[in-house]
Amino acid sequence: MRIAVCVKSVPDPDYYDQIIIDPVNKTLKRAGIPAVINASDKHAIEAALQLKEKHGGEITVISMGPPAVEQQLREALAMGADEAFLLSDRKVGGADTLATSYALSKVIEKTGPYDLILAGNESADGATSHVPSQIGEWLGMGSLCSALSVDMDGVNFIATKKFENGTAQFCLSSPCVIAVNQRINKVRLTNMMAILKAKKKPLTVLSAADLPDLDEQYIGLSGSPTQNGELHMVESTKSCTMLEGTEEETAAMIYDKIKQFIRE
Amino acid sequence: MWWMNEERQMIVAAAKEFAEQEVAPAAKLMEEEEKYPREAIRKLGELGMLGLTIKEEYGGAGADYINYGLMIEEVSKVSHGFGLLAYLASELTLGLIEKMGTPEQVGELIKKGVSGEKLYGICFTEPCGVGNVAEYETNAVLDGDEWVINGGKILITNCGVADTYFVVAKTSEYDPATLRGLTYFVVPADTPGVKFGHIENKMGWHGSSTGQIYFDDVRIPKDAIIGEVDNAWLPLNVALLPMFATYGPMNLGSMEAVWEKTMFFLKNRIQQGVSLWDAHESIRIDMIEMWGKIDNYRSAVYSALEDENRGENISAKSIALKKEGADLLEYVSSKCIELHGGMGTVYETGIERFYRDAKMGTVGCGSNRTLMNNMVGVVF
Ligand SMILES: Cc1cc2nc3c(=O)[nH]c(=O)nc-3n(C[C@H](O)[C@H](O)[C@H](O)COP(=O)(O)OP(=O)(O)OC[C@H]3O[C@@H](n4cnc5c(N)ncnc54)[C@H](O)[C@@H]3O)c2cc1C
Ligand SMILES: Cc1cc2nc3c(=O)[nH]c(=O)nc-3n(C[C@H](O)[C@H](O)[C@H](O)COP(=O)(O)OP(=O)(O)OC[C@H]3O[C@@H](n4cnc5c(N)ncnc54)[C@H](O)[C@@H]3O)c2cc1C
Repeated sequence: MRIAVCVKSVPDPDYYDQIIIDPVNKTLKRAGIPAVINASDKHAIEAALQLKEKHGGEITVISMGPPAVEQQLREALAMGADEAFLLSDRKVGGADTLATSYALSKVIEKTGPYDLILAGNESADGATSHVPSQIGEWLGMGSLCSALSVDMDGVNFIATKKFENGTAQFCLSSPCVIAVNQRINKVRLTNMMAILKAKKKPLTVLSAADLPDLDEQYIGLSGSPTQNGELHMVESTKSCTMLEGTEEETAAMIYDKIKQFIRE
Repeated sequence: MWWMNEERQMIVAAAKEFAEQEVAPAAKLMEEEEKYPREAIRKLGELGMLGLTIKEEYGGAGADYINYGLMIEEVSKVSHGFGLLAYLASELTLGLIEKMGTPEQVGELIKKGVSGEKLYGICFTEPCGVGNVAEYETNAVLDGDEWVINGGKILITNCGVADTYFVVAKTSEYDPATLRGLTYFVVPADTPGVKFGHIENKMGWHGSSTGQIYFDDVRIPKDAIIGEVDNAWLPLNVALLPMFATYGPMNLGSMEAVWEKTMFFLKNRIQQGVSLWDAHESIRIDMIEMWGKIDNYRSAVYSALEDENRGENISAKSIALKKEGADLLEYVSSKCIELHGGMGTVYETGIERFYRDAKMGTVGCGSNRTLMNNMVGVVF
């Protein structure tokens, strides 16, 4: 079984208080903020490792981003992935989710075929949750988001997902795209020996030119149908109002306040 | 920092994650219930952290001492006492066997130590004083193909927890001129005649199981020795003293953690609308002064570990790092308790524990005073 895992490099959430949005370019100023593997993508890697342990196979991690993302791919290799591909090219920069998913699907086509494509359910920075299902659309595969378990019955992939009133089981024919919920598993701790061995595992950096059938009208900033609109800064201030009255009266006041906030 | 690279960043990240997920809960039980963190040490082994510097053919990672230092630094950010136990389960015991053991000892003891399956302890100290070897009472006499050991040791870490102890005993009259007369023995804990006494109730390094061990006609095979008969100083000099450098990253991690905790507190403690950090120049000066001392110590630690990588003799430096680090940790944690105000003295704040552990580092596992005296012999 060949499994591809889409891995995004995101700013370390421990440093979120130091990240600012550039009001002119409307992009995140990331200088000085360390990058890490997106949290839910670690769960996707763990899910892939568990599938490999059970059924055998090979795990390829795929990312699109600047050259420094190699570090996060090395980490993915240290976690147990077998091979890594990084698409890094100015031409694909500035992509929205559609352009991102298009470029990623081209890397998947080029390095595949795969039986399963795993992804995290959402990134910590963009957090649109668009990319996995869009990859499914570009590649003409079935896709599922927020999976709480993934397994294979020999032919198909079986995944579960929680709804308000219960759990549903889905059967997806292979190949397919499954985005995992962070509650799917507990990510194992990384082994030191594996870190030291990771440098010997193959990591290939691809440029747009390595993907010959990449249609340039769908990539990068110019291939992105969505652009950032107005930026609104939220001023956070604290104030305290003391409510007076009986328990019923103050409860009613709190109820009205909450209703007012929801309307606003 | 010149010693950092991509791979080492990953090692730091992995050790940090381990420290947060495994060491933090274990440290709480060490402190509150005197519970030895056996499971967490086993996991350290499973994750390859105990065998970082051990050769690959012995099941280790074959990495260098800087990688090892980074791991110890991270776990010691959460607990100085756990850092000590990680050191004891790795370089202090496994390094000794790797450097001084016979191929049989290496085969039997190292692989199981690297994996965290087996734990070892080191037995020097006797009631007469650790450095007062002339008066050691523990002795071994050869009887046919076996040594018969009698005597007792005190203040032994991993007491009753380790599977095997490396025990120093008199095998002939001690000669202060040649330092000969003592031999290093390999004594499995389940050998008949090995008995465990009282476990000490200490001010710090809780849960590290420090106690007494008695040897009552303990019979072990003739070849169960490390190094040569009558020459226990060789393993001490070759393997144990240089790796006292491990106290470097251990003390470093703890002082960094205490300093950072205090910085966070000062910036978030608001009085009359202003943080303590913004309000008081004297506080800022205290903090930056400590930062400078910690930064210098960090450079010294990794410079010494790099010297060890290059095969230089770092025994004297290691002792200096042990002493300076324990004193600095004591100073930093003491100051940081004060900067936390009353809450600094409260256990739950998580600062005073480092102060108590710092004091342990000045005497535990080799008194800094005695070691400094030894250092005179190495340097001059
Ligand atoms: C603050 C901010 C706001 C943004 N707003 C928008 C917006 O409104 N509309 C829009 O179209 N774009 C937006 N983007 C850009 C967009 O988020 C990213 O550029 C990229 O398209 C991925 O989308 P995502 O982060 O939402 O990923 P998600 O769809 O949330 O990610 C889900 C999973 O897809 C995979 N994945 C995502 N990106 C990559 C990658 N580069 N390499 C490998 N795997 C990946 C990962 O497995 C990930 O867990 C925004 C970015 C930022 C930082
Ligand atoms: C928590 C803990 C764990 C320990 N773990 C172990 C262990 O695993 N294995 C082990 O063998 N031992 C262990 N020890 C023992 C430890 O190494 C000794 O307690 C320590 O070295 C001091 O020796 P002592 O207690 O015999 O003090 P003494 O020798 O009685 O010393 C008293 C004082 O005199 C000073 N002094 C003595 N001789 C000299 C000298 N030659 N030059 C200068 N000053 C001198 C000492 O530094 C000290 O300040 C442990 C101790 C503690 C507290």
